[in-house]
Amino acid sequence: MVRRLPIIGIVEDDLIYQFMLSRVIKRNNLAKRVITFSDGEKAIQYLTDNKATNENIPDVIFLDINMPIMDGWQFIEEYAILKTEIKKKIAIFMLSFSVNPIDIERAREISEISEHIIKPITLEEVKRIINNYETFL
Amino acid sequence: MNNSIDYQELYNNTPTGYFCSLPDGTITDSNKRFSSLTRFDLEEVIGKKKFTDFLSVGGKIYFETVYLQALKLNGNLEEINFDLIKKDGTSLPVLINSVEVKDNEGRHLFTQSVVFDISQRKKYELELLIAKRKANDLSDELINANKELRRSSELILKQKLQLEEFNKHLENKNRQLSSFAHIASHNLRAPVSNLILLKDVYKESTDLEDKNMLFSKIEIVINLLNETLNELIESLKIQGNKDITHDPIIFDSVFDKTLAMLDSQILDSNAIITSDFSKAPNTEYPKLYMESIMLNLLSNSIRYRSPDRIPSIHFWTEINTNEIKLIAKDNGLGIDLKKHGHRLFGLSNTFHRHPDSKGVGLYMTKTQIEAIGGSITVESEVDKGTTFKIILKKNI
Repeated sequence: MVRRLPIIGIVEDDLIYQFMLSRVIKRNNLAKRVITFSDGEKAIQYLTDNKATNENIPDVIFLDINMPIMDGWQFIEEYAILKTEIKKKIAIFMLSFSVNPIDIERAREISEISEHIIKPITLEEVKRIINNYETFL
Repeated sequence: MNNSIDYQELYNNTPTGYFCSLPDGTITDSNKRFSSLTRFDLEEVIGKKKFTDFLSVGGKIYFETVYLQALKLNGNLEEINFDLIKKDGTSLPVLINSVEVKDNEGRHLFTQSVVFDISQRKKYELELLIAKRKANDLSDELINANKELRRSSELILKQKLQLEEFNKHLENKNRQLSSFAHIASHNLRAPVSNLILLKDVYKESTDLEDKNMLFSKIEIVINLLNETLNELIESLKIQGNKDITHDPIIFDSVFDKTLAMLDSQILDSNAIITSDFSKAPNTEYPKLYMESIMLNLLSNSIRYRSPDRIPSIHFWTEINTNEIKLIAKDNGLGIDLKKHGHRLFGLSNTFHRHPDSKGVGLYMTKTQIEAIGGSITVESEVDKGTTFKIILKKNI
């Protein structure tokens, strides 16, 4: 049985990190497609423009917390409003360097966030998440 | 005679000494009480002694110059204090009342005197005096103790103020450290972990072109890391430099220098830049900091101008009772302070998609201002403009 590969979204202002994560996913053939955004606002704009087109909506989003213009928390707020109009469910994984318990608790309380991952993320973790993303939905 | 009073007995034993003397002072009669007060026998006194024989030299002088004159003038005297010298040489404090007895023609015949023993009263007086002296001593001690207390209390107050200042300084240092820790955790961890990732991928890659591409990314991260470290070191230098020298600052000339440095950007932006430092034309401030503050504020205003209108930037100073304010206002893009206010002065926080926004300027500006004891605040509205208000320092 051939597994359908997911569409992956990466919302990350650190372009090197964005590049590396996207490269790891592509090189390991984990995704059908990788879409990258350098801040939350661009990602929300994309989701809004494509909300009616399921095949453009990512299955998994890796979301950085610390970003200019619109950070990860603000993205989640906007997404919570937008998601009723999107037919597809998205598993969102929050990425940050923050080991601050306030951030960790905050992420746990938000139902839209599937998991909060402390950077740097390993290849094993990326594989675990992408191969099992449906269990997070 | 049994029921009548024995006057002779009364005369001799009444608790008051009595004597009668001639104008020359010779005692012609005395009761037993008087002789017993002086420890002499009656026979040794009557007809043999003058009253002055019982007085010291000083007593005699007082008797002759004051007592006798006053008696002659008034005819009687009451409660005059003398010390009688007893037979054994010790003295006895007494009060004397005297009255002159005269004949029909006014001639002085003799003087009658009564003598009261006041040794008990003198003792009490002495005790009172001692008690009073003790009370005075105690009162002096209390006054001294009070003074000492006041001195201590002043000292404590001074120490309290010093502690408060020290505490404020510590709080400030703490804030700087915590902000530094945050910066170190984010701004250093991110590039370092990127470097590690890149290195691992670089090692695994076998394709030369891919390796070259990866190495160029490593270079970018290294340069960024180096820049961040330099900024951090610079900011630590500022924070540690409490006693930096203050130079005389003429706002107009620093501003002119800033305009000259940003000449090409100003030309490109078509910005209208005005200033009015007449309210506070000069101050004392580290010259390097003032130049850097003005350069950062002005270049920010030009960089984040709105494309929809001609940029208008105004710098001015204000003076209050004990502080000078430097204010910079523009009509640029503005910042959503609700979203970004808490990160505005952090290192590497940018809020605009702009190619050369590094986010270092405001962190440095804030560090410099706070190192001198001032503060910086911001008011902004998206697409209206931004105003930075700087209190340079208090108590100038």
